[in-house]
Amino acid sequence: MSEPSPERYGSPHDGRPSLPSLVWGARSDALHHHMMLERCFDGREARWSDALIARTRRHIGGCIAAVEMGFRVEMANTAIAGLNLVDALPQDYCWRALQHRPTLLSTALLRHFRDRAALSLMGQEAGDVPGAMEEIRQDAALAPDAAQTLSALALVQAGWKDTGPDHLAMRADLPAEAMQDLVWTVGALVTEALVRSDLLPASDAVVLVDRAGHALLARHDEQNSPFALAALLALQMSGAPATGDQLVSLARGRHVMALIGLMAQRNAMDVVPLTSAVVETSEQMVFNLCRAADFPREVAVRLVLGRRSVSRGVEDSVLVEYADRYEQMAREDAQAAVITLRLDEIFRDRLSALGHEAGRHVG
Amino acid sequence: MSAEPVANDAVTARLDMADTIISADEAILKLQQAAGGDPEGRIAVPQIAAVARLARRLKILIARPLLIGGQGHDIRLWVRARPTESGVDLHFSEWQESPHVGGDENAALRAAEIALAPEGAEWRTDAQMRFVQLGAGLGFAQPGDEFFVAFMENSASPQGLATSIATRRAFFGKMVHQPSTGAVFDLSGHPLFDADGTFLGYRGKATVVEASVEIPPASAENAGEDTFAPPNDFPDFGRRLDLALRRPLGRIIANAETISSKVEGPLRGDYASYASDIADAGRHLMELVDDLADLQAIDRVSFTVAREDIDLADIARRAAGLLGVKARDRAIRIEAPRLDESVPAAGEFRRALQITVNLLNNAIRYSPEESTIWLRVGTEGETATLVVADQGRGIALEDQERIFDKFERLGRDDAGGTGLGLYISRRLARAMKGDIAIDSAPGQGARFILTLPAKLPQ
Repeated sequence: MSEPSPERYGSPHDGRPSLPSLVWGARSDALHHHMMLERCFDGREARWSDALIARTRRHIGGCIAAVEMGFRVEMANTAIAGLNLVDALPQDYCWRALQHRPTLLSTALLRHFRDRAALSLMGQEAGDVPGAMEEIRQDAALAPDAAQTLSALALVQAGWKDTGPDHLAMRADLPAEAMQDLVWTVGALVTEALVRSDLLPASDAVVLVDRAGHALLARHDEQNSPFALAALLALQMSGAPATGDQLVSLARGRHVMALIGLMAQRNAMDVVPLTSAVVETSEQMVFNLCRAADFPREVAVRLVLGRRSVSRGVEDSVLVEYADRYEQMAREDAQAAVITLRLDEIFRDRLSALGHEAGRHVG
Repeated sequence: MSAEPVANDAVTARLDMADTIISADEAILKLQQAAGGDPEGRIAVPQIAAVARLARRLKILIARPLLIGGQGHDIRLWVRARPTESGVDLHFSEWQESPHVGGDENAALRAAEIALAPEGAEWRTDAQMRFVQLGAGLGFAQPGDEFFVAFMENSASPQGLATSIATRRAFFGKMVHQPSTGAVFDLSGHPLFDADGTFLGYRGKATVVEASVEIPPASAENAGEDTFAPPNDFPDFGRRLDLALRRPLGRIIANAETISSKVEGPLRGDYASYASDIADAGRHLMELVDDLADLQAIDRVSFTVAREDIDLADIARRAAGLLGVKARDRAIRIEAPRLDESVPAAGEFRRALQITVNLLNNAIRYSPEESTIWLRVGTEGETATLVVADQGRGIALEDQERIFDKFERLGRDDAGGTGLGLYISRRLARAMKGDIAIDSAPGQGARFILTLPAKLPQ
């Protein structure tokens, strides 16, 4: 296998209009401008932390690298010609290519990676995994199957804290919808690289990647995803609802996903959208979600404090006030306050769009 | 929809590409049967069908929790759906059955009865608002179909159907139309929750308002009789009124609201204001149609009410819940009975609620902003009472009987009210062997007192 020259595959800028590069300007396109604006001012009091941005990049890069690696292995297994081609592809091609064309990442996928990154930051200060797992096993109050699921969850969550370089593969344990999105995003980049190599007709490259992508999807088991494990744990614990002490113990152990799984079940929501809500919404709403789920005050406070590593929120004094009012809040009031979070995501998006539209008319 | 508990034993099923059952364990076949499906037909349990379809569409293994609502039980389980070349393999575990809300089963049934129209086809949805059960006459939809695809709301309803469902509240008498057939339905429903308070879906009834039935023109021989005969000779009067007025009124209100809310684009302020006036007038006419239909029903010789065990405190709280938004719009506070209060009485639940809603609606309409309305309940001897007290301008002694007359509005000329509500309410109360009385003086607010026979301890 010879090392490919950069010229042979071209840079990820290839395919753009053939204007001389000096007239492009520096990042003057609308997308980058929008991203900068969003990064600096997202229109709310909360602002994403640098840690979240760095961790989100790590998760995107890691999962893309893992899927790219999967494609290479599948293509090597499915075609002799593929073996040469795969080895000939530049290393980390997809991650590098994606950085130049970030719009390839769908909104849903980007949101998923942001949520994963946020959860990993919220559970950041958990103790060492073997110790935590031993603690879980010794917790007689948990049924054996629930303890086993919690162990698996702790292990996976520990993997999410990986702070290696962005392009280093990490486990792509995504929910099914997100995995499909990711596989075909990476598949498109791999196809592009193959076509640019001129060693394979485009039609053959597409077939090769399509076959490999389907094989990757067929092997994917979303039950390995912490979102699924959290839902499974909540189901396993629903026979004997978690006590306040158990919840506090989970919170002290930073088992954020486990708490979100239980919160989802108690609030009749799905884990994935609830996670987005916990990451995006106001601190007051996180308190409401906890109260609606009948979580003890300490659990709510720990969750909210954990979230401060994700985004800057209200002043500490306001947070103290929220926490002080927590136990006075009637559960029924909290349940009423979180009702809108239960609405279908598309419905909420459209309502939000109408709200903006109405605002435009008024303006 | 109840299957034998199978604990954590693995249960499996296999579907082909068209969701037809190739093989299934007994527990799944029982669910299939309870959902009205054939053991060798397409899977009829909507939650399972949805997961199977998702796995097939994404070509990826799906592992999710499911909540399957049944008649007496709900089943929580974990499903793994693996797409194969010939269909989908399903593997179920963590099977947990739990009965619906325990405790006072009669209370739960009665709660559901709020939503039930006296006649009509029963329907039930799951938590995702997909149908799991459809009675006769609702053949345009199948189990698994989306509720909001089957029914579209006529926007004449003052409180939206979607809002009621999103906030998990009961709704009554919502006029909806069925897009594919054009039929209009009177829809009522009540949310269902399990013992943990988890939302399970809605159950209710849909009464067909036969929009496609043409009203036969009066013939030469009977034209005169039709004109002068008393309403009791026209059992279909209310329905015909619906046909003739509801749909056009619904359209008028919907269009006027669309114009006044400027959703189609900018509009001059005075035109938007005219449209708002048209919508208000349309809603008033719709109220009148409702009242006239009720009036026709209670003036019938054969009119009877059911005798049920009811709780006036519960009814007062429900009425406060139903009109809470309307009161808040005018900064009016409603003080309802405490949750632990209970005043057992005898009467028809639906009618007692109708009366209370009418009294409370009047109180909201005629109370000043930022005032308080009290709903108080109690028992005196063999009489149970529900008092609606407001801080409005009150009613003079000489008007206090007159206000119960048909179309009597004491000279008020505002847009709200038809002048029939109190007449109907008192007739209903008396039909339940109770009454409505007033205690008021000008400038001192009004207290409307609904009395019903108390339900004495056995």
